Amino acid sequence: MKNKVCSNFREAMADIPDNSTIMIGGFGHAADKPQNLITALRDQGAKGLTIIVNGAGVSGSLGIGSLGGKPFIDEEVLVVNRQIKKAICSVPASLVMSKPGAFEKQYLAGETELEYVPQGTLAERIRAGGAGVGAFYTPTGVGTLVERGKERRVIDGKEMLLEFALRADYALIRAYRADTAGNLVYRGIMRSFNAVMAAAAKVTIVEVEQIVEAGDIDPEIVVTPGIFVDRIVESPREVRR
Amino acid sequence: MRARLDRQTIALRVANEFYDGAIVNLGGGIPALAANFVPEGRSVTFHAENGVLGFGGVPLEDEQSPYNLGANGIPFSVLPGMSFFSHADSFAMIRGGHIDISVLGALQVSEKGDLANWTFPERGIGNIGGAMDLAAGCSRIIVAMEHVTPKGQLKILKECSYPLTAAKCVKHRHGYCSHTGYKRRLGASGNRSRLDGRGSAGVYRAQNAHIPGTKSD
Repeated sequence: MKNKVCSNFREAMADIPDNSTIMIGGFGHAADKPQNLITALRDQGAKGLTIIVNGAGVSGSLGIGSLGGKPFIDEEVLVVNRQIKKAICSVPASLVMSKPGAFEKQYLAGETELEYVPQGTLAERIRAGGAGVGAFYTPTGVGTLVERGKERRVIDGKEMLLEFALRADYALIRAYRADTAGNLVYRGIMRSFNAVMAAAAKVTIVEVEQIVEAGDIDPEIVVTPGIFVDRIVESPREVRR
Repeated sequence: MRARLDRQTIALRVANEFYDGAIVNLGGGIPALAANFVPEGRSVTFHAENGVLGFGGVPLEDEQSPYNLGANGIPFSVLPGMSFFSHADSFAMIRGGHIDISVLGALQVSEKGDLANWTFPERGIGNIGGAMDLAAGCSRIIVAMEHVTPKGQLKILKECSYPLTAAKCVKHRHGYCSHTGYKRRLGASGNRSRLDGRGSAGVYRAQNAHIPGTKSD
């Protein structure tokens, strides 16, 4: 069996080149973000990145999505470090208008690109990418700004838009526990985009709170089969419960 | 008839639309407040787009967990029958018509039922989030909002001037709610103090609940 376990975050992220397309998992809460992988990507310094992510770093610095409002690491550190060329996301702007985030400042200054994708369409485009489906029709976004340039078709009496699959060079995701075969289980709200993105990248790198031996996770409860997982790193357990 | 409602009372009015057994997704702002007002004797299941169905209210501080936070970042308690799932499943529930009621806030609603709730042109950027999926996928959309902006601009218009979230998703089967009775219930539920804490006048400028698709009371 291929050894998927990396001894540290730097090793797991070392080969990511400039101009890569990177999926970053989670919804936008402290417990679902691969915080250590994001920090390692910042330290590694790859530039010109396209990120496919739910939000372009809008919660961490405000502490929205952590207990007690404590700030946490999210994509914004990559934006601040000028590593992001483009974001494909549903939530690019700050949730608090009086406190604009780094991404929206750079975007409004014409320094970054943005593709708006409704959250459910984003999830489905990623799912399709991982499943080898090229495109699909969805009712979401008909008659709105996201329809621009897209084919519209009536299916079963309902207007729908053609949306294409998304794939990435790397997916950085977080799970609760992995076995050495790469099988993953999650905890609470952690699945979010993490469990969807796992299948949609050439290389999927997972941050987990615990790595156990193959056989120590009951096959009946595996959420992400190890076939989708290339690298696993155990993180210090900074969130409890 | 009273012409104005505060946010808490709008939320209370919205919650009255939750029928027994309904599966409900609440947006941020006034919609989220509706969870506090589910009428007694009705069992309502709440869905959060970050992947949880059937969660409960805010637990005591020592029982809160970072793994149990709703889409708004507020901790929830674990209830029997609750489930966690991924975003693909979460939005399959939304688009697939499995969510009975979606309560959304709005910046503008047009008389045709167009909804605009994700940005306005001056901002130059905005957050679509899950709103377009909810508006396109749920058969019953309840818009919970005040009728004018803090600057006094009307929010119910002939045509929306802001970018749309979805076209013709809000069904205008009736105009505005009347509010007889809610004043009394507000007083009885003790929420007046919350009202009085907001702003110098203590009451919002315009506070009608607008709940399309329901019979006027």
